[in-house]
Amino acid sequence: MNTTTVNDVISKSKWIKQPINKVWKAITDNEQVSQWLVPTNFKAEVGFEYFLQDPKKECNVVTGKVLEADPYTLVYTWINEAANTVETIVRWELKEENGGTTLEMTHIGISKYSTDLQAGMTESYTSGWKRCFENIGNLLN
Amino acid sequence: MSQKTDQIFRALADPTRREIFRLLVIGSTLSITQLSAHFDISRQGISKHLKFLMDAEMVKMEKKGRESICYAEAKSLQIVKEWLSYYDKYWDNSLNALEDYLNLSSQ
Repeated sequence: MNTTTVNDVISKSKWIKQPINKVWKAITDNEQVSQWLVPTNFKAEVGFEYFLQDPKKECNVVTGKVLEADPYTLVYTWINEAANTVETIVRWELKEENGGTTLEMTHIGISKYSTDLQAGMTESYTSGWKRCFENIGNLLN
Repeated sequence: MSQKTDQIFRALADPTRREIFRLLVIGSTLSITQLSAHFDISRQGISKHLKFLMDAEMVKMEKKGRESICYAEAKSLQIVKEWLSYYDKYWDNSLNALEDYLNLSSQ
C-alpha cells in the first residue's frame, strides 16, 4: 500500500487482485460495506444521507452525504458526529490494472478537526477511534 | 465548562476564525497581509478575529519589522499530526479489511 500525506490530505493506493465490478460493489453496496467496515445504510445515490455505526456502539457515529457515485468514482462527505459539523471528504477511484483493480482512496480536510480537538474533545474522540480500528479486523473473523 | 474552554468554543463558532486557524495550522506563519488575502473582509476585520484567537491562546503574534506575523500554537500542530496518524491507520486497516473481505468472498 502506498501512502501520501500532504497537509491535511491522506491518499492511499492499493492494488487488489479482483475485478473492478466486484470492488465497486464492495464499496457501494451497504450489505457489503457493513461486512468489511461497519454497519451502514449506505446507498450509491447522489444526495443520499448515510450513517456508519458499529454494532457495539463504541465508535463515534459517522454521517455524510453522497456527492458523486458514477462507476468508478465515489465521493461522499464524512462527518464524525463527535466533532459536530466538521465536514471532511472521502473519495474513492477505481481503475482496471494488471488483471486486477487499483483502488485510490483520498480523505480531504482532516486538519479541520484540529480546531475541534483543540476544543477539548481529543480524548473521547481518539479513544473512540482506537476501538474502531480493533473492530474492523474483528468483523472479519 | 472552564473559562478558557468556553473561550475556545466561542473562537471556533465563527467560520472566518476557523479558516484563519486552519490556514495557520497548514501554512505555518503568515503575516496579517497574507492572511487578509484569503478573505473578502478588511484587514481590520482580520485583526479583530486574530485578537479573539489570541485571547483563546490558539494563535500567537510577533512583530517582525513593520509586519506582524501570526502562527498557530505548537500544541495545535501536534494535534493535527496525531489526528492524521489516526486516520492513516484507520484507512490502512479499512483497506486491508476490504481486500481480505473480497479475497475471502471469492474463494
